Amino acid sequence: MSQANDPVLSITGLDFTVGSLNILNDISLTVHEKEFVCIVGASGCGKTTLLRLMGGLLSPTQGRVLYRGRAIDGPDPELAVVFQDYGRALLPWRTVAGNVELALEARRVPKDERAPIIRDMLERVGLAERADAYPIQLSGGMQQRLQIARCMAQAPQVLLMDEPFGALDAMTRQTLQDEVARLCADAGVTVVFITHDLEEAIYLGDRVISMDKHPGRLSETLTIELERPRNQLTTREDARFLAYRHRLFNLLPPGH
Amino acid sequence: MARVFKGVLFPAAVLIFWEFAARSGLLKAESLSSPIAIFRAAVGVVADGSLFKAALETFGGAVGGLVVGATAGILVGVAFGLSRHLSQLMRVSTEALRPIPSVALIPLALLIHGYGFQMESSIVAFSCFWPLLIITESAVRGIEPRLLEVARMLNFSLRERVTKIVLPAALPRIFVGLRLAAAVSLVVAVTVEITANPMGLGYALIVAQESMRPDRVFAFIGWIGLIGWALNASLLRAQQRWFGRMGNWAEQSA
Repeated sequence: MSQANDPVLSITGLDFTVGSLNILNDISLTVHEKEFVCIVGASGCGKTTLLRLMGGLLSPTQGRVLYRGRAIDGPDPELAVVFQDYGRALLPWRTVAGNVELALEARRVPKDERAPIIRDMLERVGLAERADAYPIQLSGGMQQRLQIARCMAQAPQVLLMDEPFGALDAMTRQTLQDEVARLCADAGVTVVFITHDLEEAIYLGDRVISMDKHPGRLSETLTIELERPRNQLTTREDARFLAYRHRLFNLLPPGH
Repeated sequence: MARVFKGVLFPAAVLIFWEFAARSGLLKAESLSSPIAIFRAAVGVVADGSLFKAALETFGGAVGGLVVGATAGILVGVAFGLSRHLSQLMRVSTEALRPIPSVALIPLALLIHGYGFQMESSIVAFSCFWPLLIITESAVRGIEPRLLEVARMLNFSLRERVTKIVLPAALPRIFVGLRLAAAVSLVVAVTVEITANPMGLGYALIVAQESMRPDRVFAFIGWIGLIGWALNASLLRAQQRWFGRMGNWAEQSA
């Protein structure tokens, strides 16, 4: 089991190169228990690669990624990845309930114990009434909710989210931001959240880390001191929110 | 309705002309009988049970071979699709065997099995193996990589990955291969019966031909066509039923 004082994730001196191309350079990052860390950067800065390295889907060229003190040498069910392209990450031949069940099968949950867990998960993401629908019959926002429900059914310690709301419309995105914030707080999971949306990062994060590109490297860390639960209206109008936004904007100007 | 009528117009005209030609002595009775005689023979082979018996034998040979050949093709196709190494290792061997026309194996199959069901279905199996192997391999290789990553993140074993992700994802395309192979299986089964194996519809055709009964020859040809059509139609319906609901995943991959 884990040491109490071990950080959940700790990355030291991480390089990732493909051929002669230096994608990530000297990345060091520590994520603590139940923290919500957002990483923002322009597209192509390597933030998705960084997330895949944390998820064990890639191996670093140099440096180490530790999960609770042990090296990650492959995917681990305690770390769940929410992919951006929800439409491709769902099993189209399984119903909504069946997609959540996949994670329970992986956890070896006995068949007769699965139904209540599935119902609970679907209720939490507001999909209980669509349990028998197929993914193709759901809207984009619902499909992403379903993927999140499946990841939560995995009972992960860490949720790695790769621009999960990037393909959604603004209104759906705001609703999902609040849902995810609540869901993760309730479940007590640690979150690493990748986005290119500065305001989203500030709104969700305990900490926001900006990334530069060519090669991808971490540039600055902002600790967000805004009360929780946050509110789409008042939090975003808060002077501190605007100050964070100002600061990040200067770090990552558009078209950078 | 009018369109159906239009479509029927040409064959009806042909049949009427054919009947007329047969009656007026324009056609030689020993090579081409009249449509009415053919229809009588078609009813006759149903009434005396010879159609049912022959069709059952052909069907047994075709389906038996199809099941064995398709299963083997799917299994090998999944393995090749998942492992590029294995596929490359076996490429020369498979490419050397594949071009052999299945009917060229009839003498060999006769040596091994003698006449009968086993010999026929082994040749059908050989010819059904290839389309399933090729289609399954490409279907597995074409699976959405994100789904395989989901399987990796959930730490599934190879067996779980195959049964929970790979096979269901490839199934719509495998099913198309199955329909293809079903058509092939019937063709090969009848061919084997015509050339060597004394059973089934093919042999019934030969017997009718040798006893100078063109009406029966035509009747059996008609029944074989009908059976082939029914086989394909029922598989098509099964496909729509099983994969229809799941939207364009099945349509796209098919």
